[in-house]
Amino acid sequence: MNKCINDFYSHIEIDTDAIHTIIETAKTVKPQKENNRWKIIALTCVITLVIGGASVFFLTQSALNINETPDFSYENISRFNTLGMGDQLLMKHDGFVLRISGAYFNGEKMYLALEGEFDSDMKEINKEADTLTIRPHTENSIHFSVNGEKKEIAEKEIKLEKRGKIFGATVSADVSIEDSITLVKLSVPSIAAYKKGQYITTLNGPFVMEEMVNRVYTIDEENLINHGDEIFISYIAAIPKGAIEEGIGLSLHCFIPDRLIDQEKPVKAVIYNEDGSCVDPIQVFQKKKDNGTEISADFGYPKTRRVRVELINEKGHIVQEYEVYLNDLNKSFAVDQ
Amino acid sequence: MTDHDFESTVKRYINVLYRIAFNYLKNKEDSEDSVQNVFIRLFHYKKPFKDEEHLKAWLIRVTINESKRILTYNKRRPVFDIGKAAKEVYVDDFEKVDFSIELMKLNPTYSTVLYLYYFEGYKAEEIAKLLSKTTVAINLILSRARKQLKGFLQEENDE
Repeated sequence: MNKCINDFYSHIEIDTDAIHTIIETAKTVKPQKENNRWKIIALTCVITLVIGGASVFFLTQSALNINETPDFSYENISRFNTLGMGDQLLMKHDGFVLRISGAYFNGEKMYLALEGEFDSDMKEINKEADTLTIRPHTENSIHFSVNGEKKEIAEKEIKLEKRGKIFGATVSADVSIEDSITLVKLSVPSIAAYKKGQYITTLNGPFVMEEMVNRVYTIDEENLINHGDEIFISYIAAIPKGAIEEGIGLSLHCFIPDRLIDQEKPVKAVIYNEDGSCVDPIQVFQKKKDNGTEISADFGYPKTRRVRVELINEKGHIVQEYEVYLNDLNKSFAVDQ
Repeated sequence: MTDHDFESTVKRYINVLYRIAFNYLKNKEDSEDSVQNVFIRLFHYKKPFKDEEHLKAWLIRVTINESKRILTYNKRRPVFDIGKAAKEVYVDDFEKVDFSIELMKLNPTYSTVLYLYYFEGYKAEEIAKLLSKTTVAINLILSRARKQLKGFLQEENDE
């Protein structure tokens, strides 16, 4: 494959004449100035205000709804992209691509956000579709399996509704916390296209996805969602052995505000096994971003499913600590249990 | 940057940038436009670069942004004919066209990561910095892109 890739790119070369033209043009032409800068600034301000207002509204709502089920609607589910998923379901003939754009597992249910889009090879009639429907409970219908075990989709009928060019919907299935989620399979034999409720055509599948999943678990996700508490770890991922790079078993991402740290000094992220020993750190990247520091760190394989994560500042003080119960370590363990 | 320095920089990096632009735009004309705009910006860029690597990283980053801008602002959706583009690349060897079609079907970010990794010899963490992604994400992209291409190569061998 290496040879094929190298061979392909070695064939892509710019003409010698074009090089000369580019050099001359660059010397004579000035870069385009942004003449509508103020419009962009004003638009950015408006967008910021709208997003800020919406965020305050949703945070307030979630703080008030402590005992209610979190909203896992399609619009919100991308916030909970806590599973590293595979790419897409491709349909060969009718120019339709179905993909999983977000996924969330709350310990009981697994939610998948589906997104569909027609590509340039689409049939003319499909342009008119405003709803696409998948009916799960018919013969050879959609099924969703976790590590080979079939899971019932909760929805009787999945309607992918049009939002701009994209069709979207959310599906969910009961998944036990004991399930070791490393492989998700979703297959759809065909999808019916409707225009204002009237059937117009069928998109012939099969759409089949079978992808490895990197279990990602943030401690107390419900707490974060419902109480709006400040949690600096965005995610901690338990990675199936060999899935990314040999030796990487955990991946951590966090964002720490400036007020808690000295910006010039590094913050350490340490992960402890249940017996108090450290999980081997492999690589750490720190980047200053907005009003804080973003840290991405990779670790080796933990010994236990329950681990403790500590974020430590330059004075050795713990900025925050969490206990995390990792779910799919059967596949991630370096040693047999 | 003197005229001489500029010309030497263009000659050194033009094909690297052209290939990256090609990953996004899939046609010769737009890729040339993208690269030209990048060098116009470089010629008028006032700040000094720390070193050669900084310059190269800047050029790659700007090329990706410029290629994306051409795709979106000109509202040129990817209506190109991948098969035609592949034949343009392999004018003399049609047996290789199928592989190049598969390569060009990949998401541009995937093909750019493959190109930087295999052809330019960057490490995953260096690509992560260039593309403002985490190393984990780059390794995942590499693994998925390889998987997609391997699937194709396997099918070819089976046939």
